[in-house]
Amino acid sequence: MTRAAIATLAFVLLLPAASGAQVSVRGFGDFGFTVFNATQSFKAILGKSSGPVFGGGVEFGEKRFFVSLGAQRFRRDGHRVFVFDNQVFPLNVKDTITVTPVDLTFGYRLRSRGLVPYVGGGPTWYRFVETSEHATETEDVKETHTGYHLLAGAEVPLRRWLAAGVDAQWADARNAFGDSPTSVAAVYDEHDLGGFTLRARIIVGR
Amino acid sequence: MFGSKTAGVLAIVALAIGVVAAQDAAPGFRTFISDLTPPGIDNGLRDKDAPRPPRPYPTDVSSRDGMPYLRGSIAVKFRAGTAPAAQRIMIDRVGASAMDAPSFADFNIVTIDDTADPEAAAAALAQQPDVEYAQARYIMHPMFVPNDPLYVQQWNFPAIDMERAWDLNPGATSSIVVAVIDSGVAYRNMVLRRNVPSWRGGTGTAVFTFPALGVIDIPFAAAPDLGSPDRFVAPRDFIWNDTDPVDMDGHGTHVTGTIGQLTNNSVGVAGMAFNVRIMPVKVIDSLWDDILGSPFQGTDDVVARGVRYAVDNGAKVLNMSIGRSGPPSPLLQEVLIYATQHGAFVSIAAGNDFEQGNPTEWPAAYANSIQGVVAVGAIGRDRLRAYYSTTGSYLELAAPGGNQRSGGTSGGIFQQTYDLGFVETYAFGPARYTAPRFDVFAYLPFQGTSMAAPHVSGLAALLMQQGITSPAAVEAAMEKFATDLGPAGRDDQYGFGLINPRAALRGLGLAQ
Repeated sequence: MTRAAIATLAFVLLLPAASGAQVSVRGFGDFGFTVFNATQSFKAILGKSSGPVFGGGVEFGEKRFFVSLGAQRFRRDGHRVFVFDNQVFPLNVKDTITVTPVDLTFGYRLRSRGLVPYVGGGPTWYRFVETSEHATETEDVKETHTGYHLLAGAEVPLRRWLAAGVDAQWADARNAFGDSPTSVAAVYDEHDLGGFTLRARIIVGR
Repeated sequence: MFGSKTAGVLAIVALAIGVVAAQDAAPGFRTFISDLTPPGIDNGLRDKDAPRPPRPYPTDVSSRDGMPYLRGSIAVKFRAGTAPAAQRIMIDRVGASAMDAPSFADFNIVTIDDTADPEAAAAALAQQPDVEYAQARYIMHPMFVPNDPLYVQQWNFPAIDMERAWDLNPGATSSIVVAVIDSGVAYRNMVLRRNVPSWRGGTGTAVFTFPALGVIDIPFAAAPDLGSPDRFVAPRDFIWNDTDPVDMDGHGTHVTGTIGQLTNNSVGVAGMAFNVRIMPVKVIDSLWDDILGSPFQGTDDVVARGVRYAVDNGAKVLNMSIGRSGPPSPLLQEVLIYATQHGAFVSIAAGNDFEQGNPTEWPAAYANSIQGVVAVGAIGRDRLRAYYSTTGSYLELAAPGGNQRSGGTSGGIFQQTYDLGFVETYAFGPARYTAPRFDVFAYLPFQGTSMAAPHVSGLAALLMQQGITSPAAVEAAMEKFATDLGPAGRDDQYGFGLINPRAALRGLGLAQ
């Protein structure tokens, strides 16, 4: 996965450079709110199917095309449960879910000045960690799953080296979980780790 | 303690027939003359004792005349709104002379002639248009096979991974009340003064007359490893119709130990849910109850009243290590439904009669039709079905019940109960027959589905404490996380498998 990402990134960066275009490098930090596709499963364990995400990354590009590598982190404590007859019984066993998606986005800016709308998409690698009290090493889950994402947003310059933006991202990571007989995802037949995320972003660089 | 030869020769089955002397009080009234008695005597491990003779088969013991039901009365439930006059007409048709409405029951007890066949009378009454059901008063018995008192270790808890389960839930709390629907519990100190008449009993053709003991003081003590008196709530005795359900057998005390024996206290042995409170509800008569003239026996209707009493007084888990073969019992079916509808989970011993033709056992056979009621079979130390454990489509779970045939004396389930040498004083014949003592304890291995059911009751208490408050969900959790044994999937020998407390208490994660 890492080698593929690096190769893709190098290719995208070298392409405009080879064409003589000026390549900019910008960093960004973002925060937002994500709603997971596995709504019932997350709600059963965490009490809600959504929560805040924080992250950041780096973006390379020229006026129109860009590629960014970003990561967000979702972490929330809940309880393990038992589900019977559509009723959820939270058990007195703490369960912590950490989801860290890493997005490689290939984007295109629709304008180059003022309010700049953009669209993009690309692969997402999901680092999924679930730990619970009194669990053994094999009972905790530490896995990486692959999916993809699509996004659309807009940014506006605030200063010469500073811009702000918002975007909406939809991500899909099918077959990420739900096979284990001791998973609530299996109960609800939900297997997608992706979700919908609204983010605000601060961008530094030019 | 006793020589094996002597024990073998004197394999006395005490059939309590012919109580020939008058009691010192009217039946049903007992006089406990003092609460101030010394604490119980703990005789510790009885690992040097010779094997004891098997106990009498309880059906024969408690029926008094060898029949599986009481003579002279039947139980009946009329449809709602049936006028008393109409009820009277219907019971007159079967020759009934009187009708009683017992407490903690929605049925009536109808008195019939002692010579009449109760089953035939019940069948005739059941044909009447306004009768919901009618049945004979079948007698329940404890589901256990006591055997050699030889301690090795409590293999039963490691077998179900209890040590790690206690990490997740260390014994529940006092907010959970577990009712032990059984022969009573050794839960308090007292002295009973009673005139003990002579009586006749024995096994098969070997019938003896045991001499009268006269007026004696019988000491009772709380089992030292069950905890202080404030641990016991709402005690009730439906055999003596009072509030002192002291055990005169040892079965209920042993069962209670597996459910909630004090644990991690540097004394004796452990129990599943060692912080719960216990509700002793006595619905089974022992031989000593019979000898002393108890007014009631452990019939279906008495058991049903005990169940209803426990539920009405806040028990969340009911352990029923009791049962019988024979016809079904509509009143037991109704009261089990009543229990689950009122938030109580019920664990029932599946039965010990596999080698006696494997008959259907009641009330266990109702378990698979009522969510929140579980029939429990027994496995031995080898994790195989115990030779005695009844099989059938109603079996839902398996738990350690012991198998001393394959596992030797250490293959039993080990708990503190009465030192039976001081209880079964009739076991060595009239010459050595003495007054019983219910204040001397020992750690004894028993085997039976009676011993398996309290493992499930203890787990139910832990699950309720853990957050699963619905009896049906408790059953579903146990079944989902059970360790499959025997043929893949549910089967008639192990049900859904061996209980797995840790997995059930841990429940479901998002991904695993």
